Amino acid sequence: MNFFATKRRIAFFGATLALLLTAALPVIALAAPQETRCGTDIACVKKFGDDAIAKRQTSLDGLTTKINGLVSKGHLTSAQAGPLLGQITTNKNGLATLKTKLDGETDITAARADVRNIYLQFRIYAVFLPRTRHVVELDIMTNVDARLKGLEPKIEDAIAKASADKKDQLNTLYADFKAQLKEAEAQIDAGQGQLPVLTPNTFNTDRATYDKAFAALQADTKAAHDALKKAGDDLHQIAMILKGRAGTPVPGNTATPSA
Amino acid sequence: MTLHSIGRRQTRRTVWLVAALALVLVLALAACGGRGAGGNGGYNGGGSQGGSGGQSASVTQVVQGDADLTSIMATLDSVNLDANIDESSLDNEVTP
Repeated sequence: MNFFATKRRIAFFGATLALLLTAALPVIALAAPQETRCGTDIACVKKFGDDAIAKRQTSLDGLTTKINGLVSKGHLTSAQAGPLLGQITTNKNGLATLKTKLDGETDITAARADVRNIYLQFRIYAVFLPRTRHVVELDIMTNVDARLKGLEPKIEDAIAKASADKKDQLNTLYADFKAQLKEAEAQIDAGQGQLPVLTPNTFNTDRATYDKAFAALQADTKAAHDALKKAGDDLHQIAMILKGRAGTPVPGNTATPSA
Repeated sequence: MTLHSIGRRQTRRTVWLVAALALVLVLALAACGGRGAGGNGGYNGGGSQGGSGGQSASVTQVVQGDADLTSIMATLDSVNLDANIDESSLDNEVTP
């Protein structure tokens, strides 16, 4: 009798111990990284934060260089680059201010909160850089679209003066050229429509909405890119056909058509 | 041969020399002017039907537009690659 009672007690004690251990495990696991990384060493926390800030500043500088390069090559206008460079400066200044705050902290909890803000307030890698790079692409595509649209009167004039046996082929290509530009414009507009959602705040508080908008931006950008490529292919074929006429006299070419 | 006839012959030579120089100058200026006009024009007038075989200005512009697009599309491809770099894992929060 006593033997059975003791056995039951041991079993109950064992089960309780197992339950307690299971409940305590997540707490131990969560606490572990803090202990293993910097523990109570505030200088370690500050160095970690400073390194993270420096890495982001370098990435932002890289983006500035890229944007300026695109402006100097004429692919991006100064008006398009201005707001983007302004946002980069705002982020750089914000990170610099956070670094000053972090470096001045005397309390490790406050220092850890500053480090946390590097992620939460800026989201340089998750939000700012991918968003800005997409804006750059949308801006360049807008410029390419405008440039191609500017060629329409010239294409029309060239087709009008083309020999009869080439007109059908040229008209088919030109119709597709215009359709692709229309598609590109619609996709560029759709992509730009996603931008207001793509903020660090949406990323932090409503991840599902953020992810959906970003996926849509990627899809819209790709579709616009593909449409512009197709329009470019059409233009190339049109140019090749027209170029085939080089060397033959063009009847009625006494008046140079205006652009 | 009197002193007077020698002087007249020299005057005649000088006149010929000046006339020859003036002719050379006029020819040189005309050549420069012609080259300048052609050089600045690029496509030199659709009305002349010369040069590139009478290719119309619009054809030239379409062909040029196609050539320009090649470099822009290469840039666009590169920008597209950049835009699709996924570094979001670098923003996974780490507590030091």
